[in-house]
Amino acid sequence: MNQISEETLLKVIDDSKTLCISAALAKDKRLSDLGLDSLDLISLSMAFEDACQMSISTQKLTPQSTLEDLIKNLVSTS
Amino acid sequence: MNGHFMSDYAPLLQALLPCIGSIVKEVIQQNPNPKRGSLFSEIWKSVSQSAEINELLALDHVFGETQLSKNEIQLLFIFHVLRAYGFDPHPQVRLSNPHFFEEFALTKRPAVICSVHTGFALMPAILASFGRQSVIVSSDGFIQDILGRSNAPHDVELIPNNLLSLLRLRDVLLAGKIGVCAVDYSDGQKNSLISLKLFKFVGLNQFPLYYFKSRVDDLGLIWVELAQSNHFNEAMKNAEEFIAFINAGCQPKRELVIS
Repeated sequence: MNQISEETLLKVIDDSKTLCISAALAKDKRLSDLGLDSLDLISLSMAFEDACQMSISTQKLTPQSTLEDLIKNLVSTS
Repeated sequence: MNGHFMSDYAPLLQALLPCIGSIVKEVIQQNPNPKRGSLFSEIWKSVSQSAEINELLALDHVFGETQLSKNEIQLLFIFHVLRAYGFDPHPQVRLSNPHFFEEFALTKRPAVICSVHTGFALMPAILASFGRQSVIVSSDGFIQDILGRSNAPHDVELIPNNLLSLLRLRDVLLAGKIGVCAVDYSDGQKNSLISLKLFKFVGLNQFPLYYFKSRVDDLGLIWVELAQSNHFNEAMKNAEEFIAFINAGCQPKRELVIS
């Protein structure tokens, strides 16, 4: 994860305002249950790119993946 | 062509299939070993001249229910019957603006091509003929089948329409490919809606946006047209421009509502 703390990544999610609840509380929830749509995930990926040069890799993700899975599947864009 | 059509409009199918089937049977009996093109042309001509079929396909009756023109439905059903007889008909596609297609392909840039479900699956085969790779975003369970019938390359990537579809589309666009997407969907009450999501995606990422449409002429040829969007960052204007493009030169007009 390129030495970027989980706390930082959760803050990026909160700052992106894509979730209705705190990212820390949503970690174990499925993406499909968080009220996100595919456009929200684009906004989220762009937020990660801007804040820490990381983007969401979709290779191992499914709509049933959790927010924690998404964080684990961030890859460096630099 | 819309893959859901056969199941969505079963009553029309039941009424039309015997009529078209008897014409196909008659033409095949007269010429048991036909060339693919001439068989289709003969059947198309006979079906077009059938008073019974013309009555069933009267525009005001059918278009309101299906948003497909008489010729589009006729082509769909003829292909359906020919397949039932063991033939493997392929659509005869003509480019309305070939120079623009060529110019577009030569740019080698990623792009999003937006269309409605009718005919959008023809695009990968057309793009492949210009040496461009494309991916297709669709929720249509029949899409693989439709692509196969459209002469599309076997390696066309399909992105299912779900929560991750735009992320996956973005990945392939950043790899220089072309994304082909249909933005129309049904509300289940015979209204055709246009989603703004793709237009917002294009604006956020600044990908070049193009529009694509097809029509079937009175000889059964499919004419396809490509145009570039004039707007960026304005999803609503994109959607309005797209609907105007789809309906330009078409009579009757499709009833597409921005959702």
